[in-house]
Amino acid sequence: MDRYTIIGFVVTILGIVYSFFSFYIISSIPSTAVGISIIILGINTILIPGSSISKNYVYSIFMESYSNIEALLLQFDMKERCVYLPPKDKKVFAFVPLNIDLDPSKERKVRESPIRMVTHYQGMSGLMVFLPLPYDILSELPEGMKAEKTLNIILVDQLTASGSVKAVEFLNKIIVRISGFQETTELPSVQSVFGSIPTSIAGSALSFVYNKPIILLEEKLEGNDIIDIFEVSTKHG
Amino acid sequence: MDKQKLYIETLGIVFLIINIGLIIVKELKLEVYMSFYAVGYLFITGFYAPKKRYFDVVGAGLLIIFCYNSLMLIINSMNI
Repeated sequence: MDRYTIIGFVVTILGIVYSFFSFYIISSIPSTAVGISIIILGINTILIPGSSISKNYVYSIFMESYSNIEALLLQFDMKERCVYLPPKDKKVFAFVPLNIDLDPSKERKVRESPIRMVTHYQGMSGLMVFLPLPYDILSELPEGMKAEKTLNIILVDQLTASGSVKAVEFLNKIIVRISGFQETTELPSVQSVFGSIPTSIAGSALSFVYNKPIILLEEKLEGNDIIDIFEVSTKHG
Repeated sequence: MDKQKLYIETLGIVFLIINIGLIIVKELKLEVYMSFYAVGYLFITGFYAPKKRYFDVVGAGLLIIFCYNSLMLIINSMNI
């Protein structure tokens, strides 16, 4: 039974009880009418079909797509943290440096580097990895939406990757707590380059919404929660 | 936003406005409430055209109630 059906049944039963009470006990027509409107809303909610594809299945497809990225990272023996680049043609790419001296002053070069699997641009070498995200949902989000709201829509509502997400934005840092995340397949290279899969989805979603490079500074595991510290890059050097 | 979710929310808001409006004017006839619900429901459903799992029993029921109320009103006014 999907969420709409459960909510619909609860609302309908509440409406029936309320209408019955209003009509027979307090004999109030306006109150009975309110109860009837609640019943109409409840039945209507039951009639709304849920998604034909389970959200868990969608998330498992996401996780499997990271297996391909793992194979690519293993091929090049990549271990360095990536930079989540702002979207190009509404697609988020991560720049994974091949030479380990990537520092923030080179960020502009990174942004301008061509999208190829292995890219060499102005003395820098790296991999450009296309990251899977629900792009159609992200494109519909209003500009300037808060990080917490964005991540709840993507990680909780759309992908059911976690139970809840809290985010605090402070200066150019975003601290994210992903609670009750789903266990994912162990992918060591993906883990060291992007962080865990929920973290990677969070980082790429943030770079899409902020339209700025996002760097994962730290990822900590606290019980069943992941705590991430992201930096929103504002340098133009 | 999800179209189905928006449809339910809009319907809830419309019903709330109808209820507040009719309570303010101290309307005490249930058929008046039902007629307003029918008009609001059919208008919003026609606008959003949401997918339904089964036949729209709520819409059909409200339409029948609305037609019955209208017919009774016409008959009563003709008697006067």
